[in-house]
Amino acid sequence: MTAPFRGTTPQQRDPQALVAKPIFDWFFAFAVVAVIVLYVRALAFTPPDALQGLAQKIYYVHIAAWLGAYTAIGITALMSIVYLWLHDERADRLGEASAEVGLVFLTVGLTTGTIWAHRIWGAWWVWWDMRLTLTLFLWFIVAAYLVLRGGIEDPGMRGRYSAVLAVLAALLIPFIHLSVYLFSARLHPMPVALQPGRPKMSPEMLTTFLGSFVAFIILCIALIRARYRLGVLRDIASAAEIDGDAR
Amino acid sequence: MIDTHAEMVAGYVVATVIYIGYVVSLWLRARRVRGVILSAAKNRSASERDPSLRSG
Amino acid sequence: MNELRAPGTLSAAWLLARKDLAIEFRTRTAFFSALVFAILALCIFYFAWDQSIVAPSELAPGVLWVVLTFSALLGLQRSFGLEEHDRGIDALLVSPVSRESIYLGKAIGNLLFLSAIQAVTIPALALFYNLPVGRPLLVVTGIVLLAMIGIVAVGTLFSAMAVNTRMAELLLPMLSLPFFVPILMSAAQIATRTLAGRPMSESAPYLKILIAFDVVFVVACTLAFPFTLEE
Repeated sequence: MTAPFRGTTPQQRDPQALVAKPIFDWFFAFAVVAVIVLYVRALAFTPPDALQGLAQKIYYVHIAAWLGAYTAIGITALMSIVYLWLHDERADRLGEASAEVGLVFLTVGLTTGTIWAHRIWGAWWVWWDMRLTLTLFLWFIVAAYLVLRGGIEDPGMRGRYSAVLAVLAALLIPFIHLSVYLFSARLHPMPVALQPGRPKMSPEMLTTFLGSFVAFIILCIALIRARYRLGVLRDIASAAEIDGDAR
Repeated sequence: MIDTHAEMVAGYVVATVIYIGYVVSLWLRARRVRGVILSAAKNRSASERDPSLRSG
Repeated sequence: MNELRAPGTLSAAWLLARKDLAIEFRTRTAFFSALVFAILALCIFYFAWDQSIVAPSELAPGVLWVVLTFSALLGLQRSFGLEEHDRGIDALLVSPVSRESIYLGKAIGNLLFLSAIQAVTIPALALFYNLPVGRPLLVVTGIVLLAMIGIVAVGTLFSAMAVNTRMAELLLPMLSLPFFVPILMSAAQIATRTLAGRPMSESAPYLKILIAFDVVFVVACTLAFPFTLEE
């Protein structure tokens, strides 16, 4: 390890400028507006589902949360490979930021899913649903990734260990997927919107649905950006602390 | 059509609370880390002006 | 020995495994406590279900996998903890063996350690839960071996990582258990079917997952191990 904080070296000389930069910026404000617009549209201007009633509107936060979670976790996996290859701290920091945001989106997906399932399926939790089980284990893996990071002081070791874990987890997912698939009957409703020939969703609902994807992807990126900036600040702080101790 | 109004409200409230909770946690952590950096910078500039303030 | 030269990957791995097992054989503390733990757990879990509702023989496969998982975690915990004491890992790193050999040696040592525990646990299970001794039990033993290869492959790597962190004892199960999911799911399915006297063809897809997992993770963890060492 040559330069421990390569990505931040220029700012390190003048931490004041970077510290003054807020972690929530115009892009985050834009994301908040997008989500509020989506909420208003989903709750007030979209008709309820004929069978499920109003609970179907949970879809607009639930499925978008999955999309956000998988986007964020995909970024973590990709950045882990980049980190093992190039040893660039920025990749490590982006991977960490995405993992944490991914965990938030997974939590939203799981909680809104159980609220929906308890009336529509008649049970808070069902083990026969493949996606539910798979996502639960994904939650545990992402949580383990973050706990592992929290347990290591040395930045280089923290980056390598967590990247190794993320790459192995990427290999693990197909295995969990396959074994849960064999284990469970397939009773989960298939994604309605993406099935040609079965347009069960009205045009208004489809627009809201696709709009929810856009709004929450923007929120996902905004949160990752904010978390990334927090990571930069934290690295400056730990460098400053080490510097202070050395004096 | 079954009445699932309560579920809808619960779903949106839970999702919103989790997102807002995360944003608040980010904000609090950023504030704390910023405090650490600024106090370190203050100590440094103080010790540069007056070497007797140096610790250790 | 006529000349000093670095041994090949596999023979170096075997040397390291023998070193670990020799330490284990002389002290016997970890082996004895892991063995007592496994048999104790077998007996305790017997009382965790109502025997008037579930027959002990139907309960046995479940108990087997729980006990296997936790005794494996105990054994793996110790694997790199052994080197942490006196910084033995540094001595290994300066010795002329490849990093892959260190990993494979540790893994082989762990596999033999766990096999020795299972060699006692499975007969004890048959004894306490009244399992018929015969071909099904032999098949289950084979499945246990296959499952242990996967568990040891992943667990050895995570053990190496966990010792360098704070809260190593807590982190190893947290990292490993999600990786044990496909192993335990398929191994338990095969064992339940076999002990119920169902034909082997029913278990074929699960067997394929188990074997594929072993192959993929032995290779992947061997390649990943050098990244977990100091550079």
